[in-house]
Amino acid sequence: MSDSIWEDPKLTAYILDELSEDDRAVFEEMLQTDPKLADAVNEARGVTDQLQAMYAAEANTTLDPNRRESITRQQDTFALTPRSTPSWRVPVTVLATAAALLLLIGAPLLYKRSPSLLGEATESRSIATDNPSIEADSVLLEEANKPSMMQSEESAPMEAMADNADFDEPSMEIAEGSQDKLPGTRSEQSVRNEAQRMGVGGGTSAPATPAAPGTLRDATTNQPGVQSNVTHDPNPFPLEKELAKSFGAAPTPTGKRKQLQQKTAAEAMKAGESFPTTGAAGLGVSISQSASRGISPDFPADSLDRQRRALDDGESDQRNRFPALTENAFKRVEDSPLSTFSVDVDTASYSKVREYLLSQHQRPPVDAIRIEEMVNYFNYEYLPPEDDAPHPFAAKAEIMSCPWNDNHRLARIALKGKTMKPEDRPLSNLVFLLDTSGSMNSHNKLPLVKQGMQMLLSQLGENDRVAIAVYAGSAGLVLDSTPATKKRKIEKALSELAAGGSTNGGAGINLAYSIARDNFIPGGVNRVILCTDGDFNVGTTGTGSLVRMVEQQAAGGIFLSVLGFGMGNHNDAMLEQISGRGNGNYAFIDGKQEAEKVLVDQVNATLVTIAKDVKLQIEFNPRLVSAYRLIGYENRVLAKEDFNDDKKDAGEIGAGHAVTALYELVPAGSEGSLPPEVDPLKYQNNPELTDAANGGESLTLKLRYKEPDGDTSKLVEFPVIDNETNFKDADHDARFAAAVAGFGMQLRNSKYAGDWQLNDVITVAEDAKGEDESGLRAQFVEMAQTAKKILGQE
Amino acid sequence: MTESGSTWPAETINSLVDRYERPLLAYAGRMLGGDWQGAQDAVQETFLRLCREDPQKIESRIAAWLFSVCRSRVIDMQRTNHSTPFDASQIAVADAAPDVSDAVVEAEDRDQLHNMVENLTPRQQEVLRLRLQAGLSYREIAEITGLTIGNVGFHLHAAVRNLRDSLAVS
Repeated sequence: MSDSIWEDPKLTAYILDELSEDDRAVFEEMLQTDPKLADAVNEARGVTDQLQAMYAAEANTTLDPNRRESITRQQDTFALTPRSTPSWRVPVTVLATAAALLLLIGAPLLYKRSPSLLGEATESRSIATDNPSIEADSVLLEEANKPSMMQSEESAPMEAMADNADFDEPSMEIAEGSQDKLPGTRSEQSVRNEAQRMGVGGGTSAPATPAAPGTLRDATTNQPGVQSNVTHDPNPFPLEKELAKSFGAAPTPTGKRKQLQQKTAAEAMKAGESFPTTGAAGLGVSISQSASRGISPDFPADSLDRQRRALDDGESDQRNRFPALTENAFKRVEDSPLSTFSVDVDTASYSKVREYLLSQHQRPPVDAIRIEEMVNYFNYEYLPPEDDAPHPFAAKAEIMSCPWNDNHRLARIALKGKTMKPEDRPLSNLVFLLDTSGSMNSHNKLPLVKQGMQMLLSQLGENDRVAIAVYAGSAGLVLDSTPATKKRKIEKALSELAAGGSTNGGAGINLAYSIARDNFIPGGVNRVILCTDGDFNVGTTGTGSLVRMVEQQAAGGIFLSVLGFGMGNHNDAMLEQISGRGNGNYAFIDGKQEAEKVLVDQVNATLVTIAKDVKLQIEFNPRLVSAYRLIGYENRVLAKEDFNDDKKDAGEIGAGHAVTALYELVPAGSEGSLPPEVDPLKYQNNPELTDAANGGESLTLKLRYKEPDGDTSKLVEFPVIDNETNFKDADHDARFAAAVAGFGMQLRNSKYAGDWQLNDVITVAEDAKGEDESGLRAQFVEMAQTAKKILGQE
Repeated sequence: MTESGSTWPAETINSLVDRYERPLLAYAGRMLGGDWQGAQDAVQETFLRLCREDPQKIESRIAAWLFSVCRSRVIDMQRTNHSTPFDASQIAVADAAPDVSDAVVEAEDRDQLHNMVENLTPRQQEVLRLRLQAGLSYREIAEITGLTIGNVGFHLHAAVRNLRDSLAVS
């Protein structure tokens, strides 16, 4: 018996029929010539056969009859009962056509509200019976919701469910069971507990530094004002959520939670010096604020809904929130000769789309597709600026034929930040702010965060500093700023991290900033790196005040980057926004490979900003171009006046970052699809063309940027001439970028997709893969092929 | 993303329950350390959720979906009893197969094999069960457990190899 044969997992894969066709052919060939291998196969097969028999005999339990019945009933109810009708117990003999009709109307809503039955029943019960004031709030809540269609639909089934409490016995049993575990006056107690826990944090720690409570006070006093003008408040109803959690959706024994908190505090003390804390008083304020905000009339539609889904990992999709995105349209050059936008080096959208396609085998939601982030995900071989170049990045633009529309041209603008050797990287002062709330407790979240941090640590040197703060329930310092070379200490802190509790993002971010401030390195990289799945729910409030805080800190030299983790409650909109305002980037880490890319391969780009507030403005020459369309960058478009306004925030470029922007151009006098003309002006004539318009330039590219620590922008400007390049003669990076943009348009089902199909995307991308050392371009092709199957474009 | 709402035909749900209730119960029961009531809860909840899920969305991966949902449900249930979160693969497991020995002729052999399986790592036990009891592919197991496909193959092979070694000794 040669044991080396047993080293290869292919042996088992072979008998389980999991080898690819090629591998199997090779394996079988070996089998022919190697009798030992044949023996091993027989032995292994003997093992799996025995196991199979054992497991088959063991799996002899079926569901209890009453449970089985509840499933059948649920199925019937769900298929035939319209949610908006008060009579829940409609006989199941509804006419099929009527049912189909109702389904057409109701299904998306039903679907949206698919929280766990259990959490729902428990919640509505406990809120109603235990705390009259909360009850009042929830009545108000429902009233407040009425204007919104979705919301009024939402409250109906909730009542129906409650009315129907006896309808689904087994589940109610569970619900009551978990309720019983909780002590008497639950809601009040839990609030008190909350306060106590905060007290623990405040009591055992050193006095707060001025910075943290100051900011918090700012933030909280701002709230009422913020409420009225913020539309995307990610978490307007934190107390409710907290309550829901203690009531059974995620029943965490309060005693244990307290213990956990104390542990965190104790650890922080152990870790050394005093740590700044937001203090009991500050948090107390924020809690009562939250409570009173419960009755604020303008909180977003899905908050209650969202909390009920808190633990629904399996059907997490609905909790992903993406801001609506409307594609840029073609614009006439004579009406709008200038196109202005901010750079965007985020890549989150691409990895998100990848997760949808390759892991979930689903079509990604249209609003999740930000084409510029997909295009900019890839590393293009643009030449970086010379060492003695006046600007920290090189810019290049060229025009080629448009592959999806023969009558159009495609302009590609390419920027490349100066590259940096690891030894040239300025000293780093990094504060990781880790979300350790319960929702992070999933294999693709906290464990991946830890892995990612370990990867990043390996890139840091002895003079770099790392601190770790966590937030969940209340904020805590796990590791005060520590030299990056003290790896054992850091790794110990990492290994002790555990997820549990709800999110107190606001207090956590305050804490992180104050640690960063205390360890500020002038001229260095000072950055808070937020790792989260996007659930900020207790404490500092709406996106509005959060964004303001982040902006202030960025102005003070501490930048913020966001690493998003996990499908589920990913609040895409907010994360993109705060990273943008915080002069940082936003990446979505969907696996180890992506962590490697962001934290190792492109660590300089992630950490070191070489130019900030980078804006582009393109002036088109009406003699040569009659209309244009910026592909992607929808939420980065600026007003033309913003270009010269140094107060207007824009995107950052990191060391070695490449930024690509594509314009589809309609040449003057061509057959292209022009937007409708407006009437000629009555009091003005069309402006006359200048001499420059005759010079053969299609457009002029203007760029403004600031040095990372500067306040005044610098201007770069150069003309671009169309050299009649054919698309197929363009360099492979240009063709690949066009393929990615085309892919985005296919996924968005864009009306601008021209005559392309996914097949064209695949052909062009395949052809333009180039070296593809990382294999990312091959993976892109795989994604396009998967999309082809999902979209049925076979 | 939710526009394509549709529902399951009743017979589909029925046949899915028929097909998956046994392996799901065995899997959940095992993860819950022999808490069979808990397993019933988790599996019932999983199917109730299935009724509410859009068929079009999960049609292509129903098995993996069911086991994933069941797994998170079990983890949630465990969470109520543990102050610290844990990896499902780390749960200590007790004998999940009562009465097996009486029922089968090769009872003794099977018992022996059973004990050997017990000695495998929880991770190995989990992938073995998902493969040989639930009949899931490496890819599906990867989706459920969060391992890579290669990793699944590795754990499965290690499990088979260990068992073969133990059997050879006995």
